[in-house]
Amino acid sequence: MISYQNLQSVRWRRKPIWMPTAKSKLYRIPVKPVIPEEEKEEIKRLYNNYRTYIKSIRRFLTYKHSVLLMAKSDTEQLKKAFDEDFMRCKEINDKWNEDLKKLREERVAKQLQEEIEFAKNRMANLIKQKEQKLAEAEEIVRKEKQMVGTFITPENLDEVIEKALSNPVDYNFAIDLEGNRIIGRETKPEEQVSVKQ
Amino acid sequence: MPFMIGPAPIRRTLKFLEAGRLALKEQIKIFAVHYNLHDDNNKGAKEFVFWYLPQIQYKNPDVQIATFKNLTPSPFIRCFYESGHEMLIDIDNKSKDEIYEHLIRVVGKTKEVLEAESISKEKKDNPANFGVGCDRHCICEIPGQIPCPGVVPLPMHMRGKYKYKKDV
Repeated sequence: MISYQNLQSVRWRRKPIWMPTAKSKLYRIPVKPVIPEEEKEEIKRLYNNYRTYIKSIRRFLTYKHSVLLMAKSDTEQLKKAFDEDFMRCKEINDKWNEDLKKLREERVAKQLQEEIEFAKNRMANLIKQKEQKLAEAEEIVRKEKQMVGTFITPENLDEVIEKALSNPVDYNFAIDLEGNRIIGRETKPEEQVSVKQ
Repeated sequence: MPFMIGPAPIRRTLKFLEAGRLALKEQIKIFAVHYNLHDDNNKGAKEFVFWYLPQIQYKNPDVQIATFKNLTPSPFIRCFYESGHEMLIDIDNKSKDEIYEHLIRVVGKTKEVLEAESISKEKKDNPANFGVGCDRHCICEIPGQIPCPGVVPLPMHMRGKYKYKKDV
């Protein structure tokens, strides 16, 4: 923001550009300066020299005073610096990776060994269990085989019935106050009754 | 304090974010972390992501940070450079601090670069400066200063024409 309080518009000593040529100067034809050929050449040479000097001074000052600009514009240098830096970092990183690789391989091998051990143990346990089960089954079979002789077959059916009829079994029983079991429906606990009286 | 919810909300405080020490190199554009969630050798990587990734993102807002979970046999970090180079960093079975220190050494800006940057930033940041690349081109843009004589003529007492005028 500019304060316009004391503003004084610029009045350079000239009439405004949009005004027409003054009436008195309307038909005036300015005389072209006549410069000899040699003079012209000399002036041109001098001007060329001057421009070259100024250009070189300007360029020199620009480069001298903007180090940042110089560094940025120099892509070759930047690329070289980057490559150098990258190689340095890569070297450190490669070493780190190499070390880690060794450690990891060691660790993985150890883990594998542990897992193999675990699997082996498990397998052994399973086999043991299976064997135990088999042994149990064999035991059952052996017992059954022993019992085969007492089975009732059509051949000895009559005989067995006969035997069963001749030996009746009485499963009834009673319990007295002291917890004694008195087997048989008809049995009478005579002694105990007498004790109670 | 409001919004202090979730696991370790300190990670979202400005003080914590600004305390990060890893400023990635200018050329790094993508920073990818690959790790697993459950194995013991991934513990450091997991903690690194939990604690340090917010700081890194805060310090490097122009870098894309990606995490890939449960897609790799062993954890690693990969940095992609602008120039097409890439840096592969193994972080297997390392603690979060070891990883952080290594990253600062390998992909972080060096101390000299950081110092130079802070100096140039300070130079540019100073509001008193004017000229090319500063906040303003000319001191005349400040209210109360004298306008440029190219726009408004200088006050009479500053112009030689009037200063050295001989009284006739």
